[in-house]
Amino acid sequence: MSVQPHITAAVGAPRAVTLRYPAGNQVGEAGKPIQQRTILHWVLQAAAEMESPGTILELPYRWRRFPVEEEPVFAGVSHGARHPQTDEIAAALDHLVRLVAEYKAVLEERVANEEANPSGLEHVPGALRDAVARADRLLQIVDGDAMDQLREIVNRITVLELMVSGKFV
Amino acid sequence: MAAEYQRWEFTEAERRKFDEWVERINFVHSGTRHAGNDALNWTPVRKPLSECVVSLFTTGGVHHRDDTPFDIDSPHGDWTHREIPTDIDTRELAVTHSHYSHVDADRDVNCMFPLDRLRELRDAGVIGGIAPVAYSIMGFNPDPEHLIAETAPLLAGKFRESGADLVFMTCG
Repeated sequence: MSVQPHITAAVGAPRAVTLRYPAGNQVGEAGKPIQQRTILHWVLQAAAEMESPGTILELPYRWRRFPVEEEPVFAGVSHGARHPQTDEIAAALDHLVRLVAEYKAVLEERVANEEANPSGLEHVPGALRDAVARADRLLQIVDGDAMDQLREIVNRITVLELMVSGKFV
Repeated sequence: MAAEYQRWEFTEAERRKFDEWVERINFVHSGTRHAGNDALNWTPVRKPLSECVVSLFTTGGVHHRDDTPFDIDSPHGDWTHREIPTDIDTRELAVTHSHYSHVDADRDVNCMFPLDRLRELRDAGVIGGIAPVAYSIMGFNPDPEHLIAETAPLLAGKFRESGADLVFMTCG
């Protein structure tokens, strides 16, 4: 498993699964056996099924806890979150992801209803499917791109602060 | 099951990320040497997962709490390995590594060395069995010379002898 696939690819690993989780949590959160078991199962299944050398597959899960807690390990004492804003942004994004996912489900139900009981208007089925596709894209932006940017900021700031304090990874 | 995955691509942006990382490492640690594989070493899996004997390996510095901890003070790192019997009580495991956060792993080692979860998958028939021994190293080794020349071939032989068909590997 890898959480830094750019390094895994550069050294030429024959097969890997990557996950956008922090180092030290590649199989999930502490005390979450179902989450851990799911990730382990998927990775083993992927390893058994991969057929092309150099393949790196990515699992769709996203880390939701911010910031990555580096400080206690290095300093021996926890000073708490250095950037509490990231907690709030993460919570807001998380909420938004749930709202968009719910709305997408509502739109999908509309598509199913239209197929079961057609309104008779020619453009309606296509318009509804277009709305579902847009909701899906919105979900990708919030759950993928936006979350990734936040995680990247947190990771980089953490590394920078460790460098400044002489405790760099 | 495979439908949930996406293929990860080594794009130009990802290559730049790697170059930046190497630059950062070289800035902080002297004597760093990058060594990649010349070719992809591919061994196909010849059995279904339900018949595979699985083992674990980590560079995350896991060891038995009574075993000698890894050397985290040497600027040259530590390329020694530790053996972990896979019937061990995971509460007896400890982590010695100063280059990543193991706050969670200290509380529950399964979040990076999932031995308890592997047992559950064996009991559920998802995998065929668990090899008797797992292995661990501490991944901070700025110059990988000893890892490549000594540790890697030694552990590859040990895994082979243990009857493992698949090794689940995590980094620190």
